[in-house]
Amino acid sequence: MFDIKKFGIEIEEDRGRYIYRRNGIEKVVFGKKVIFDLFPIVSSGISDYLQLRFKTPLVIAPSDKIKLEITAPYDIEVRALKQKKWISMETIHIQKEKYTLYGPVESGILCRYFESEIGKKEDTAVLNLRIENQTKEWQEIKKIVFPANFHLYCDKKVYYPSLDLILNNLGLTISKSEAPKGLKEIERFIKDIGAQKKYTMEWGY
Amino acid sequence: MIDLGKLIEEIQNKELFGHSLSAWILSLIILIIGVFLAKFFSHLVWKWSKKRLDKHGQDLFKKIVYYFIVIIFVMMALNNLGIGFSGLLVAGGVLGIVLGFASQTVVSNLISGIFMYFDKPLKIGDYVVIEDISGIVTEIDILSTRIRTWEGNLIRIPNEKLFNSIIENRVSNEVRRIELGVGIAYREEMDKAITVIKKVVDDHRYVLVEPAPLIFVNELGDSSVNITIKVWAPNDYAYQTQIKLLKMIKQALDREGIEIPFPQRDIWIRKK
Repeated sequence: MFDIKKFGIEIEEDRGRYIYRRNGIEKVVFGKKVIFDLFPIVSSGISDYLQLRFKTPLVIAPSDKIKLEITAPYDIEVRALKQKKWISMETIHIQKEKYTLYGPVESGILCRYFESEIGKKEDTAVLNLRIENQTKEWQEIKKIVFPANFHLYCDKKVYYPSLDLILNNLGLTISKSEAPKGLKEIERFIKDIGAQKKYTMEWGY
Repeated sequence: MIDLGKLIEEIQNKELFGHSLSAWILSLIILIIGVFLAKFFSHLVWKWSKKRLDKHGQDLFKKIVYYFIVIIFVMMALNNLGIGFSGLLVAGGVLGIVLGFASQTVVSNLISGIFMYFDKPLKIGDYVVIEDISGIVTEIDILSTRIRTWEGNLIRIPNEKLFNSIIENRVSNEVRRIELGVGIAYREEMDKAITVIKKVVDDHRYVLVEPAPLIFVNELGDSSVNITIKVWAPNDYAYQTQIKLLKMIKQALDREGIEIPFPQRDIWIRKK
């Protein structure tokens, strides 16, 4: 799916060792029959959470359910593989790397920041949302925050697993729902940030 | 030929400081067993607390268990020599007054250490500023805390002093604010300079989107219009962000031809 040359990666093979080069990064890999491949990964960078801020806020009618597709960020991890074991050479950021704080300074959480749009866009992943407004009021969602501890999927585009967003009197709770059907799961090390299956946005949405 | 039975009997009957040698040997054995058990159980406790407590708590807990067992075995050893607990109390009454004055600081440090464990103003690895000392906390003991300064020196601060000091913990939150200042010449456009600086700030990956950066004219100085830049960055990256940002701002202002002036003074010479 991803072309190594597109990212300016050079791999030179020389008597059982490989020299990996890109943008001033150089690594020597020792080993026979090593394969270099590119894998899309969740872009949480130095943080454990993602914050997607909608370019246009979503306004949802009382007691309504909606489904929509939004853009989300991803990074490309360059891996050296042998016998199903791999090591990361580096992570290439496809989208601008920015961070933000969600919540107050003394107890908030650091999140990777991305401005999300409705629909699909080149060089972004696809994230399907199922939003249910269980309240009897109109609700406006400007941003969503969730732990970035899941696998990505890909065919011609990169996909996140779908997310369920429940709006009730407690606030906005986000949970992972289903994987996109018929797509290949990208195996990767998932950040250990606890067995958190649901995340409630306690500092507004 | 050595008569073993006679030798044992001789040892048993031999007196040292008013007690038989065998009593002394037995007390010594009790002490050795005590130290061995104290080490064994404190290590067991340390392993058990590994997943339950932080390193500071682990060390403290281990030491409490160690000294508790050692004290019990010391008392058993003394009891074997005929010095009972009540005797210790009587002796302690007199000795206590003497030792009380002498060990006032030690006890005070110990209690401060225990209080600090529960208060948790700092932990190992934190970047702290305590009065005029700044550095990384390397060790928190029950009597003192050690800090490695940025110059690489190791400073030991007694817990009592630390407990009463103002402690600035620079890594207790995930993010930290950075403040920078730059002066532009009076003939330059302030808004243009602010726009240039804002672009640099927005482009920097570790400058947080929220809390939002603040860039404003802070002062009309003697030689320049002074602009203050206040941004937030992840704690671990704050220092490198500060260094890079200042350099990038200078480069961006240079590219746009915005002058950063030297201090100037107009001198008028009176004509005679």
